[in-house]
Amino acid sequence: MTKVTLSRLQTATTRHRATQAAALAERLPLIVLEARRISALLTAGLHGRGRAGEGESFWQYRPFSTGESASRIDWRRSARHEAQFFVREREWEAAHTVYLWVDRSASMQFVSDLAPISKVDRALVIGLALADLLVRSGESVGLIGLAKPTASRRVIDLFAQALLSNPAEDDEAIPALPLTPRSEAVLIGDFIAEEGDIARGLAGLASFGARGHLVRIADPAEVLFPFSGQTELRGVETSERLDIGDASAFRGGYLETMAAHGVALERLCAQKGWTVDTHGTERPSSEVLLALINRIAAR
Amino acid sequence: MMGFLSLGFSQPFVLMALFALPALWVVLRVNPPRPVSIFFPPLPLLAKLRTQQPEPRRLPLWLLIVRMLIAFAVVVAMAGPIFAPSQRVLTGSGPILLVMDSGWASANDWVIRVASAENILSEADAAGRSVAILASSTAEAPVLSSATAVRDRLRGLVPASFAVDRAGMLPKLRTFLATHSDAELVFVTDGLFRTRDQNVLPSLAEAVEGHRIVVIGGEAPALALAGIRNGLEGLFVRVVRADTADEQKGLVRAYDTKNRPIGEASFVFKTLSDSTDATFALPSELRNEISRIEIDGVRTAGAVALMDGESRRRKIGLVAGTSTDIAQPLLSPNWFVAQALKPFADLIEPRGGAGEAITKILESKASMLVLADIGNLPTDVEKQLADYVVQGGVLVRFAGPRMAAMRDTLMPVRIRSGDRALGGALSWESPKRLAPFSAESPFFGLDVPMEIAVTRQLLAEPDADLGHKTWAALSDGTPIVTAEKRGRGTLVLFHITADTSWSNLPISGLFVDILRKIVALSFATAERSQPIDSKAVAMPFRTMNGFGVLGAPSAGDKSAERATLVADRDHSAGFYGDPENPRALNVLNGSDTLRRIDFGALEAVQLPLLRAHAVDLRAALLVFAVVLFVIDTIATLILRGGMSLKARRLAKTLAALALLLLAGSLFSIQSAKAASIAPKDAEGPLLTHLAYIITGDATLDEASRAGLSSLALFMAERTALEPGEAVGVNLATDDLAVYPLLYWPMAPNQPVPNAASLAKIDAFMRDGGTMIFDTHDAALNLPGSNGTPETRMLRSVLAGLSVPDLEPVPTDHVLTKAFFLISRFPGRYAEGKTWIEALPKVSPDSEQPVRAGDGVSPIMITSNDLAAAWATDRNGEPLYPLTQSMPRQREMAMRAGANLVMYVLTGNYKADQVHVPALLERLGK
Repeated sequence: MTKVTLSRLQTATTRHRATQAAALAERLPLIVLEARRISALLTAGLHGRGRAGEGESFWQYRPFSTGESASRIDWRRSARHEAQFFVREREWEAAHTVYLWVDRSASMQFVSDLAPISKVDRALVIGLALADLLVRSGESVGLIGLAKPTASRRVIDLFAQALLSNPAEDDEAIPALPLTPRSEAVLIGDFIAEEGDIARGLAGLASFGARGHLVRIADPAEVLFPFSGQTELRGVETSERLDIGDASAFRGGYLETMAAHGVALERLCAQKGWTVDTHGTERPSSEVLLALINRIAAR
Repeated sequence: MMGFLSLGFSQPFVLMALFALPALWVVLRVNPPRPVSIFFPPLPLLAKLRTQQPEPRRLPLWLLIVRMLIAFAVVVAMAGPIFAPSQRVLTGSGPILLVMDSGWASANDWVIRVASAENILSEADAAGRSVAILASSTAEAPVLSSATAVRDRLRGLVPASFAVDRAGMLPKLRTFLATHSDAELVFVTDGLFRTRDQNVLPSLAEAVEGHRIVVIGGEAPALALAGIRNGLEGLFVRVVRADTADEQKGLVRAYDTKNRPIGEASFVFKTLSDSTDATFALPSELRNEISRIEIDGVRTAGAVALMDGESRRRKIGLVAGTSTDIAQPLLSPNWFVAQALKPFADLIEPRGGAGEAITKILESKASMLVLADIGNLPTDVEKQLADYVVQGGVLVRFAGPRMAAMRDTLMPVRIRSGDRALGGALSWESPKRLAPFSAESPFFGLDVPMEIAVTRQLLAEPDADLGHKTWAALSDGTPIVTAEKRGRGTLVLFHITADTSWSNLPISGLFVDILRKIVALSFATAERSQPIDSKAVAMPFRTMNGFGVLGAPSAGDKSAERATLVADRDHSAGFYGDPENPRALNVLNGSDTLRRIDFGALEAVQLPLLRAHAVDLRAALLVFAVVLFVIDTIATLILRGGMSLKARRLAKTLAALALLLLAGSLFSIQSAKAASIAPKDAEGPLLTHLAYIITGDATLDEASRAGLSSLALFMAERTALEPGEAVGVNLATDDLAVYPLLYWPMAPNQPVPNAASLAKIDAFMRDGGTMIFDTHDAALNLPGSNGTPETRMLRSVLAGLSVPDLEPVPTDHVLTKAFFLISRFPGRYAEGKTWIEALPKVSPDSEQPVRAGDGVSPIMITSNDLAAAWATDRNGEPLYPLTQSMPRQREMAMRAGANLVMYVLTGNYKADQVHVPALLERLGK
């Protein structure tokens, strides 16, 4: 079966599974709005790196220690003290580059009746909101393979356009583009792939020492497998079918397999110092976003 | 039609398909349902699990059985299963004599009897055998003809309101059987015989010997009223039955002349008793209102007892001369009168002085007043009494010592002062005997016992009219009872005392009979102009058909002497004689019982009646199959897990709900009938709707709808009335009460409405609604023919309704002036007459320009096809052609329609309107 007929089949048979850019374009304004909302929600809690360093905002005064350059003395503060000089320290504000990647493959289009939103939409909301948050806190953000790092306040719009003009392949994999050493990667996707494929992608990205975070988006139906009765499973990226008989009997084996996959994924990340967050689409996106922000800030 | 057990199939060969069911079993068993397929992204990760093959799927056994049941139900339904099909009853090859009982006892299940007989005819027709019919209510001899011709005659039969005359049937039966020795006899019978036909049965058995006999319906239950007795405690109605095996309970209801219920009484038959009494314990005033008593739920003439004036209980006031008489009550005049009157009247004997007592009695509205030896009355009391008589009261006076000395105006004859003593010490003459009553006397026909002797009497002045006034006289011609009409009432004078001092008449049986006649008179005199003459020939006034519905007498009803009236072939039960005070003739009288013919003695094949309607099981089976199919679908979906999770929860809820609903609907099928007025009907009162009865004939119904719609438009254009949309009314389910008039075109293929619907129509007509029956056959109805199918349909409908006397609309009827001034009521045809309730007759020289009865005629019958003449399409173009036998016929038809509606809505208003000039003129003067 060719790819064209398969995609048509999927469009015809499942809801929210349009893979065409046009369909994404239709949803994108809503996704953008949602991303802005989430981002605004979390801005209040946004703060700096929490340590002194190169930056513009005041961090603290500390006593002058001998050997330091006299030009660092803050004379106004020191004048208020009789016997001590003070140095004005600024907060450390190393401008970072964060690279985002959002999986837009066919499997990400899946949405079950238990979920309010498809995996890809949730991934895009998280990705765009994260980009906005990072830009506001002074980082520059790029989309792997799609957009150069930018610190523009219009980052959401820029990224949205970039996503629109580059429709994804149905079986898009993690791009093995090497990132610069001090940059960070945030990969958002379902990571349903052979372990080797994932490992190859991560290795490519981290080849120069970049670090990263994986956000594993999962539909509740994938987590719980709440089916019963005579069932046949069909692949979304390939045309394969699997007759599993009574679905409720199949559940145990399925859950074991998925747990094993999760463990494998965590092991892969741990080897490179990366982290993994799992996000079910039935949960609010701010939850995972906050975790993500904290992880990035913890660097 | 094939039959086994009581189930038959119209297409039995379809049942062959059942042989395919085992194959279906196998196919269903090995072909499990396709699994539901789910798009599932994590599939690539499941490669390891792919190796485990699920075990082969099998359809669960119960689901398999459900599916087999569906297939079975559908196949059986297609075969047209009919419960209780007709049985094959005929065996021979010769002619068939169908003896159809059409007396009152057949009326209750008449439709079933006719259907049973028609089955025989169908069977005979199929076998090509000729049939003769002997209907027991008619005098026609059986003649062999084809089954089809006999069927027409059968359908024309209406049960009669008298018992079957088996003795009269016998000669005809003999004659027929003598010429057709190979005839097969089929009796569709009520199985009853009259008491006087008892000795006919052996001859019947002898006559039919050697013939094969089939008896259908000989065991049908029969219940009837036989005799009404007015007693002290109440009105006793004798209920009789034919089958005495079980205990039986029931209800009788009493109605007044306007068919309003007055009371009800229950009766209980003990085991093995064939008669019982139902007692209406009602005040005598109410008892007197009763004109008709019916057994509840039995629609036969036998279950109806009509009451006339003679059988009603009267209230009679008694006043004796002085209060001193009470000292010796057994010798007081009142004692004898009271003893004589007690069995059939309520007596009032107030205490106190004569004047006071009389006033009390008059206040209590007694229909008769007996004054025993009352002397002079106070002038005001005398005047009251005079008024009482003039207004219709009966005043009976007994002579006595006091009266001999008095003079007042309340005497039928002038009395010589003093009395005459016979056979006394100073008299040569012996006591006189009574002479036989003259033909002019109401006592005519009563036997005069020889032992009655009169020793003293008052004498009347020999005026010229004394002879006419004399009701009873002594052998020497001197009057002993005289009477005179005063206004609407009667004065009766006994020239003897009410006690035994002057005569021994008061202790004779004749005294009771005489008083009884006078009591009967007491009701009659209120309206009658002549004294009752029992010899008089009584014309049939209103007679019943076998269903117990009163109507105009049929052609077969003949006059008879009042005294000898018995319900038989020439005299249907009903009212006879003067319409003002008719004599009631009932099917059964006080001595009759219901007796079963023992057909076992005839060696007959006995069969029950056909069930009312063969039940077509097709619909039930198909519904069963559909329900199973729904269950199967839901079960399959749940089994497959094919529904999404929310949907599955929803489906489970829905399935539970559906089952509840199904159970609920099964429960509520009966109670649904008692539903209140439907929204469609409830809208009716808010807006006047013209309504028509839905006949089931689509063409007719469409014509009715279109016709009434354009009539409504016409009314809105021309008159102040703006009717709502024309409404189709379903007789069986809709409430009729909200429509002022109902248009009912007769459809020959429409089933005759059942009893409940007829009762509904009856109530509708009685409560002020107007039914317009249209047979739309004016062009086809040739004189002399038996009527078109529509006309016959109308007849069968009207047979179940109480219809007033009808007449063609007279030219001065208010209907012709209700809105437009018209003289005819054309529809598509102009030839047909329009019949309407007959108006009271007026003298020909009356100057009234318009006549109208009270209220509106409950019924109109036309054959002109009104609705089709009114019907127009949306553009106002007529839909049906007219015969154009009168100029501007369509316009005239619309005007006739407008008049009809206006008449129904405004009643006799227009009749009053035409008097306005006269009233104004009078006011001016």
